[in-house]
Amino acid sequence: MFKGLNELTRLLNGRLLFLLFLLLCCSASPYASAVVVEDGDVEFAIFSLNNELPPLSKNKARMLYRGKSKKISGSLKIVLVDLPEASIHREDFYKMLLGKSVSQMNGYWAGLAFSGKGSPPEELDSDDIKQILKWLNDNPNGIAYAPIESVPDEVNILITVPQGE
Amino acid sequence: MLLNRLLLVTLSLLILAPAEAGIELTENIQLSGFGSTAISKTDNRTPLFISREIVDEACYDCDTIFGLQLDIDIADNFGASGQVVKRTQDHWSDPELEWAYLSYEYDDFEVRAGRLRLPLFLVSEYYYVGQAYPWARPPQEVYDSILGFTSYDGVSLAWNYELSDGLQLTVSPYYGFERVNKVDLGVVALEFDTDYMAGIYVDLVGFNYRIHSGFMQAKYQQRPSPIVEKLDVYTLGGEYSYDSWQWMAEIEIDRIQTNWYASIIYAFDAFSPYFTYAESHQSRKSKAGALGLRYDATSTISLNLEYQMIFSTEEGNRGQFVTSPLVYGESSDVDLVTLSVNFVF
Repeated sequence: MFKGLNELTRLLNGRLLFLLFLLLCCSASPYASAVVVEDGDVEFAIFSLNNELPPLSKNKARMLYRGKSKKISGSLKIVLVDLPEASIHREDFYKMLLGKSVSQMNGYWAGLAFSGKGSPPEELDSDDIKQILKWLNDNPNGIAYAPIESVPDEVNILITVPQGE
Repeated sequence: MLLNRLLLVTLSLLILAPAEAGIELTENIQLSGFGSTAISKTDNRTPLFISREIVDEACYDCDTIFGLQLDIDIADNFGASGQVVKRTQDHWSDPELEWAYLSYEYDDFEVRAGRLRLPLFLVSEYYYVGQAYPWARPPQEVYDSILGFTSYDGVSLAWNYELSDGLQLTVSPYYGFERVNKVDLGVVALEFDTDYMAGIYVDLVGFNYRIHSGFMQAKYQQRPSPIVEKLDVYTLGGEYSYDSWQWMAEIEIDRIQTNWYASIIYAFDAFSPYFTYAESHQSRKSKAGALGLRYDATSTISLNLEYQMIFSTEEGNRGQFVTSPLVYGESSDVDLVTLSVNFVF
């Protein structure tokens, strides 16, 4: 199998191969298809106190929490907050939304932070809803996540996880 | 040089807090750091890998890296970043200013000027941050293909465009001005008088994948030769993750060589076993397999245990060594074992 690939690279000159690959890349499907692991019966809300923030699609939520996108609606800069590392909610949330463990996420954030592409979300001292609401109050463009039953009615729920959309 | 040393020492003294997201010196200034070190040993007397030169005696400082990064928010959309790194080839007293730039963001555009990282490969931007990638070292076949040069002095422009909610396009041309690049290859010191290094990369990014394609052209003279040479480098890489699986593959092509690797990683709680297969052709000729296990001890500390076997496909060829193993009267094949530790703060 590997021999075959070598032959191919030798046959094609670099430029041609490069263009070919570029073409292949551009035709790649934008619809990522990770299956969300249903973990127990916890449901999370991603929410804000800012009523101007529009609902998020699942794709958008995933891009935001992977640090690959920082804006919504083209220009609104979003700030994320994380629950403490020891919080079981944090573990569950990332597993559900992204299928990743906390240690995998830490590795990704290290890559982003040290390439100047973003810094990990600020971390709260506790996963108490009062703390989360206080932080959101201080950060008008902030969004947070919490188990849906702990979230008060008056907040702006942007999406629920794992239900979505 | 003295400045680098002072900076490294002063900044080191500040490392007290265990905060994972670095240390906030003020609201607008953030200090963070990273490091790796390893015990590594081969079964061959020929020094292995550029700038690491691992041999058949246990080496405790062949892979040692320590870096500090300072990020400053100067004003809205206007920032500065500096990174000082004791690379594997540097002495502690003489670290390298790996990057130092000013950045300005406007709308979907970002301009950077100063000393910048060459964006050739998938992990180029965090090449020295072991915590950020799964392996003990980025695969040498690809990452050492341009002799380990990682930076340029110049300007870059990045255009980040959201194609859809889940897909982002980045197009980034860059231009590096004249400078001298040096590298030691065993006992030989190479010097390149680089006229310019210019290139572009195009990235497609989804939440669980990234495709990175790059092109760079460098015009240079290898001292003391008066001949001006041009080198076109083409790179393509992709990474994709699904559930607990992650795949990464990259290829590098230029007129003197073709190199590629493919890697598969499985995350199992705090353990991530991985396997990488890699080949080098033309100027270096080798095939290699590496089997490793990464252990995330805490959110900021990880360990790697890795066993790598490199087979020469032409007797006497340099392969991944710094020189031909014939110079040492050695076999062209080599096995390497590495136990490394990585951290960030």
